[in-house]
Amino acid sequence: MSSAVLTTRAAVPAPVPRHFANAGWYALILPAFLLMTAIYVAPILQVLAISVTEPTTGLDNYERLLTNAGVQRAIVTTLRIGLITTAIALLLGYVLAYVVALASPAAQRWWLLAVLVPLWISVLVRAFAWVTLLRRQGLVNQGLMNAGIIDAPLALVWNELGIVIGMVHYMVPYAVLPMLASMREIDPRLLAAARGLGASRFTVFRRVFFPLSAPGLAASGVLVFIFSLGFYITPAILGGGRTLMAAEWIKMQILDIVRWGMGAMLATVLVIAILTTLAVFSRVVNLKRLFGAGA
Amino acid sequence: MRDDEIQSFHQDCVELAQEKHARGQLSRRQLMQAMAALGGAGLATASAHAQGTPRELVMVNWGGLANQGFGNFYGDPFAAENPGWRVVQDSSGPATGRIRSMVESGRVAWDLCDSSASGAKLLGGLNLATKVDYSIVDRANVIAPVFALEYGAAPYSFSSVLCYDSSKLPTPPTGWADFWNLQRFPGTRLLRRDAVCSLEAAMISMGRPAYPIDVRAAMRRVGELRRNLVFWTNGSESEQLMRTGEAVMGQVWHTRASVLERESNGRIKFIWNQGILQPGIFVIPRGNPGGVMAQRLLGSMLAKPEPQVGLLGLLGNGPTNPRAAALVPAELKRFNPTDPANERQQVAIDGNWWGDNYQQVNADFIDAITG
Amino acid sequence: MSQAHALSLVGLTKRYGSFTAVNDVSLDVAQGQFLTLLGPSGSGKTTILMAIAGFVAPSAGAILLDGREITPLPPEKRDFGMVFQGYALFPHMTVAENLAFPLRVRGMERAERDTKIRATLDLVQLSQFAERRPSQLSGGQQQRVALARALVFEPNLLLLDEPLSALDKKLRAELQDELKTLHRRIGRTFINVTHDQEEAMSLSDTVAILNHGKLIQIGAPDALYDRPRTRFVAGFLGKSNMISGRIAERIGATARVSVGATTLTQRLATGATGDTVLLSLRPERIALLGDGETAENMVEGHVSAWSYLGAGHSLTVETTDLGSLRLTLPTWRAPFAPAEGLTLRLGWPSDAAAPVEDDGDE
Repeated sequence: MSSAVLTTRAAVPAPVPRHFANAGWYALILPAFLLMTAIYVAPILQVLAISVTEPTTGLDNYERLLTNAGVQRAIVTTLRIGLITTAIALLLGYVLAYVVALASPAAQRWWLLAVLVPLWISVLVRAFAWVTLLRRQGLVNQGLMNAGIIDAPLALVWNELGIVIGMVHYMVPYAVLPMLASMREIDPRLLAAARGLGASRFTVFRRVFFPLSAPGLAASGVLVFIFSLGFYITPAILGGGRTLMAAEWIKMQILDIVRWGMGAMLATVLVIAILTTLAVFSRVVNLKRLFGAGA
Repeated sequence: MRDDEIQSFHQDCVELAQEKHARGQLSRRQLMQAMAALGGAGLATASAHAQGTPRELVMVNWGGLANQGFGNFYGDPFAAENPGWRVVQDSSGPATGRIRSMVESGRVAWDLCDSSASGAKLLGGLNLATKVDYSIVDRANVIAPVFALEYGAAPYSFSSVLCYDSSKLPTPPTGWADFWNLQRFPGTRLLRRDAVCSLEAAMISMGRPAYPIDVRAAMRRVGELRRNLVFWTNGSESEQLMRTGEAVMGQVWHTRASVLERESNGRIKFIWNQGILQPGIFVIPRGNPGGVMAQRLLGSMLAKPEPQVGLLGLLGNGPTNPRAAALVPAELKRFNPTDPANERQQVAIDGNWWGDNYQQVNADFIDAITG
Repeated sequence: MSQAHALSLVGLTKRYGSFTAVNDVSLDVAQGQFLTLLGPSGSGKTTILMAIAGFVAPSAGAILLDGREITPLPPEKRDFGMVFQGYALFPHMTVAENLAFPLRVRGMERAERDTKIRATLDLVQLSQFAERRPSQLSGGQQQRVALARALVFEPNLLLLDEPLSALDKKLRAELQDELKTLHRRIGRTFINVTHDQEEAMSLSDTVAILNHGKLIQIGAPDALYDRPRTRFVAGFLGKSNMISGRIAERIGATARVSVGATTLTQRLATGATGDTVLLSLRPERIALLGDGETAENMVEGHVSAWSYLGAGHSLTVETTDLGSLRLTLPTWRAPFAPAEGLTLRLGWPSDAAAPVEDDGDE
């Protein structure tokens, strides 16, 4: 399987060299490494510094992780929405990737286009489009009411449901691509072989196709989850002001309330959470390779 | 991308004027004529000083038409009186955090920033803003003390008013007590996702004076409405929510309420009663490049009633100069927050109280309404 | 349980649009037989195998197992073991798990499963690799795992799709022997597909030769080799000298065939005087005539090319009327040092050559 491809897709910022046998090759990436350090690592370190020096030097801001209900709520909300979004995006993305992977080459091109086109539409436009669709007088509620399915409009937007709908819509293409890549690697003969050996279509999926597409599923999951943690515009527009996710909370601390220390603290926590997720994930993928899931 | 952030009033004015212009209610020609009468176009001013190298004052706004409005109604009249100086507009959006970042980095490029009462107090407290020099800026040029603060002064005003949908509410609400009365006025309400003005409304609804705000009681009061509240973060959102009938009532900026009243054929109305009158405070970042000239510019902005009336016509911002109200054309008086008839009914915001308490109270407010 | 089954194809046809991949093929595979479908690429042999396996739905015709029609059955209901080209081992399972797969889907108990897996791995001599992943095995080992997996559930038939094509020549020969031994030992019906005529000949009881979707000839390997029905079969199964002549005279079962100025004596069951006839003469059936030796057919020519093959010599001899004839001689039967230009006398009996139909294919 394409575990190497998958890790790249998961946008690992800088691969950590496992050994220095090829020092010459690493010298080649030195300029890129320095550039990354200057424009990427240095600001992150600065943020880290602010989080332990504002307003006083020490870990006071981090202590508030344990004591401040506001920051805790922002984190819990972010994780909850992130997990729900990831789960739904993976489910939809998996079905979509499955359909695309099994389609004819010509149909595949159209499917892919359909999957990718939303990526070119601004997240802002999409969020407003969802508002238009989901609000009380929106197309969805009107349609359901005209069809006599519901009597009163459903609260589909300006709450967490609205946020999840908007985020899932944004994340599905990101979920599809790594999964599609891994599904395309699956030798169709394996599926035929499994059926020839007596397995029903469902068993073939469960015992052969699904396990072989699992690395792609994991890569998609990590990608979507990490993206979800940083969502900013979609929750702001679709949340009705009542749901505050980490990114917006940080922005508020820094720009409006001017509590830089707190904002920097949560930003640091977010970065650490993302790096940890990636580290755990890369272990999992390497194990897969070790077991020979991919040849 | 700023559209999604919680929007400040200044940003919204600009957006509103653009929307009006786009709808054809404000013709480009009208706009230009008004601007020409009030001090000439920016280009002409710039070329008049072409012989010497003019020194610059940088005024920072929230983008869009504010560039033009502030340039023509604030910048140009000042430049006309001060040869060798010109005023340039920067639309980066002077968020409190951005001003802090600039001052702390020691490379201040801004002279005058469109901030707020609480922003002025906050920046002053952090020693990031310069005190207004009231020997240069004349306190007598504003109608009330709320427009002349220690760390900033307001050449314009705005108000957070109660706006309602008369097709949904046969009995018109008369104040914040009705806003909280779910039995008589059922339906969704709007508040800005900000403690400022929300808590004042809560206090008044309980029949108590707005200040000092009893934070716990006011917060609890907001909590009573929680199931029926949608919080808006930018002006067009609030207008949209009213216009489409999502909400029956809302606390919205008077500029948006004015548009709704004018355009809905009387379906949507607003009342000045118990509106929260607020100053559009400009602050001078500490170490600004123009030095004391920024004080003079601020003084000039406060001193001239005609441009302030011009701005009312363009962006809807209320004048703060005592002589301005009389100059407002009759058809605009209904929409002028500082018209004596309107001002009387409103409650002026206490910028000092908010300056002292904004950080903590707003954080608590956000915590209370989210999650 | 009866271990061996018989399979019949009746008028099997598969069309893809206007292209006919398999054209009205009928054949019978007897119980315990080793049948090989042999043909060049595009001959339809793989499509036939896939239709037998159930992966390809025939456009017309029927597939019968022991006389019972199985054409509409999905692959998983047919109980056929199959070894795929490239083996198609499950990469995420160990060797033992690969073997367990068909047993598991049949709901077999764990203990019974383990016994069967062990026995089958012993059969293919892979017991010590049970816990390895396919990627940790060599090509030959993978091939044997694929074979074991196809056999472990005691299938009705074993289908093999180019099972040895991915292996190098030496390994291929080794596995050919193993496969043959295996077939004898377990006595099941095997159906194999290959484009390699040597493999087909060495493995099979019966070979079915296909070309352009049609069954050209079916029979035991030696019968096909010695009595090819068409020019295509003759050419596809080894080298052959093609001699085209005209029947000059018929004497009982024998005919005198004129080729230019030369007249050959040939056993010929059919054909009347004046008919053209195409003869296929295998290179090893031509003998070198010493002084005074005679044969039913004799021609003279000179060597135009030769090569030494170790076990024998391959010579090309130019003749006046029969064109160039290729012959192979065992080394012990060539008591001379071949040289270009050397004049030789060649001879063969009247039953050495086989009359073939000219189907235009070499």
